[in-house]
Amino acid sequence: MNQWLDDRLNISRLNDKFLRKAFPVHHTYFLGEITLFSLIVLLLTGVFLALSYEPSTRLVPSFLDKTQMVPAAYSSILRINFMPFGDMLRRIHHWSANLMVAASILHMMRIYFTGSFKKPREINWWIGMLLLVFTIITAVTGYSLPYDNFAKTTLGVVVGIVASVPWVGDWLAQAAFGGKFALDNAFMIPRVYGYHIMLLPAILLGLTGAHLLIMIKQKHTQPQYAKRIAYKKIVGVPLSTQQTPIALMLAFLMAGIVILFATFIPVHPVEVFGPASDNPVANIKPDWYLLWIFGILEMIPASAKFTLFGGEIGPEFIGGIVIATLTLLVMLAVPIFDQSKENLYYSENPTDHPKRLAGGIAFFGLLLVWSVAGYKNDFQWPVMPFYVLSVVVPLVLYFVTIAIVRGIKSFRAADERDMAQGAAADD
Amino acid sequence: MTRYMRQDPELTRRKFINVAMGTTVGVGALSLLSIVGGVKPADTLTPEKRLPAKGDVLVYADAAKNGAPVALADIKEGQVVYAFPKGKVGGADVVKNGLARNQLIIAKFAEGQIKAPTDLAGTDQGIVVYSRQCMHLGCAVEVKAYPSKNLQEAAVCPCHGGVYDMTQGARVADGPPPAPLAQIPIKVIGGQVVAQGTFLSLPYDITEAEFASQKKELEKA
Ligand code: HEM
Ligand code: FES
Repeated sequence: MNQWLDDRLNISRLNDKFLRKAFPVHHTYFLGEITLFSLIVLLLTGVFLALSYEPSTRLVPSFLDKTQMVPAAYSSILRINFMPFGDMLRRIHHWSANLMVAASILHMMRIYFTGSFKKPREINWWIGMLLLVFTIITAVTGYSLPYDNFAKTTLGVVVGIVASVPWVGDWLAQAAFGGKFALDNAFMIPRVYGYHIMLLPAILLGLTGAHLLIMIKQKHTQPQYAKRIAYKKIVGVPLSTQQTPIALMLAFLMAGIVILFATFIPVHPVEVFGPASDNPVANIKPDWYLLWIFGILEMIPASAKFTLFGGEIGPEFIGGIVIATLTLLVMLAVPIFDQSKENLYYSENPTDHPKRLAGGIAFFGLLLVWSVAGYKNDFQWPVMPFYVLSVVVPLVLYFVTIAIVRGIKSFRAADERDMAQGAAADD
Repeated sequence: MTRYMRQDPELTRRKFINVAMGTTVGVGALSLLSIVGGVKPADTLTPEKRLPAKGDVLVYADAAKNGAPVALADIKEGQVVYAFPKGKVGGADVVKNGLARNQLIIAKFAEGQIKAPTDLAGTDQGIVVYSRQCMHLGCAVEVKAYPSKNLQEAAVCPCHGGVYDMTQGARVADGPPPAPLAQIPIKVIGGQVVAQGTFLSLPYDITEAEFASQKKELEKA
């Protein structure tokens, strides 16, 4: 059969070009693969959810209590929960979304700390950033679909943030969400549904394809041990066939863990929040990966507002968009700070670049401070300490990291001296 | 030794193609824009979404009470009632519960506790009424004590911690909201709480222009 296909499709060329690609073997190199597998699981479970979900705000008798009128979207989620494996499907979808975000963040940390974003791989760093941003947007739109009171409150805040853009915000929010935000807005849920199951997955798939093709074209950076084995040669196992079983094992392991999570930890209990209404949800928090923006929104004071050329710039816009955009821009700019003209072959040891290492740790420290600020409201904490911490924590982390790296370096140097002396004494 | 002098044509092939392609792209982009322009549906102001107006009676927001007027006995110090305005729109009685901003907080404070910048003329027997929708990003606020700002009864937003002092015109006491909650002037008439006008300041999710035009409409009616 191979021969038959080869005669027609010339698959041996495909084989030589793509399927023999050598994959380095190192545990941190599998984070990207886990991201990819989560995407695949999301697509599969998402298709099945879409078969039973009804994207509509029309009021219908509730699936559980026929005397109560609830939005059709909400009722359809209740029905899914009662289908065989329906709740399980939702849970797997939900946990895979969390895993996808977590794995891409860890993947990105690996790229950053080992310097793998350097020339020639800047483009893939930028594509990766876009993937992360779009994954998060996809997750947020997914959250809104059940149209329970939590989903509705989240969606209201998202619409409000879009509407806070000066000059065009009002139009933008109404165009994107089909008119002003209201419980009975008939366009809103169908729009969000369209984004969640068509537009955004298409963007994610397109970007993922580009990401992988560029990676195959440019080849992985090689782990340090490859330098010792065969200098400037690609060391690794070919995708077909040796890498494939490794990847499959990883995929099954991941699927197993996700299913274990899904079995024992329920997700988003829509009945607890009840159908969308104009009542508040106590202690509402976004998912962990958006807590930092939530914290910023809490930290920007009411006084941060001014008018510019007739456009209102207020704390909603500054907290919801400006600071988050600046943060992402800093991340996008990472490869630009690197001046090397040479192509990078080998992953660098993070401790050989203490400033980069310390900068990265300080950055995560800052995001952590902002995330903790997301809990300010619950404890009635004053806002001032968080401004101070936003400066102090990153600075302290930066210098402590540099000091630790210096310490390690001097220990290592001392060790080497001892070894050399020991070796000399042996002679 | 060229036989023919090569004449520069007025239009090179490259230029022709560029202009032709540019025109095509331009026309295409314009038609695409007309589609994008159409994705925003026209605003339809259903009766339930209209602004509260003078003469509207405040009725319980709680669906179980079937739109009955709020009883004065239920409005006590330290215990608020949530309500919607109910009034005539085009001759028919309508409970204006179509938008979150029309859900109102009815609060009562002891004599002399309510101070400026509250519109004092719009309060009666210590009762003051505000929109329940947070001015930051539109969540519904809750009423509870907020000891860290010395407020016994404050409107607190569960979303990003906006805190409003209801005794002082719902000024922002803490958190990010860019403006106070919008007050509704009321009077107690025949045991009912009756609105004496619409929101005194811009409520959430409405532009100045829309607010002005809807207010004008109210005056006509
Ligand atoms: C690619 C990345 C994706 C991410 C990050 C993602 C994330 C999410 C999340 C977090 C939810 C909320 C789950 C819950 O509340 O239980 C959700 C719901 C949903 N998603 Fe996705 N999703 C993705 C792709 C897809 C795809 C490709 C489809 C369809 C083809 C889909 C269909 C659905 C449906 C129908 C729901 C509503 C059902 C429910 O809430 O349980 N998703 N998604
Ligand atoms: S929505 Fe009320 S503080 Fe943000």
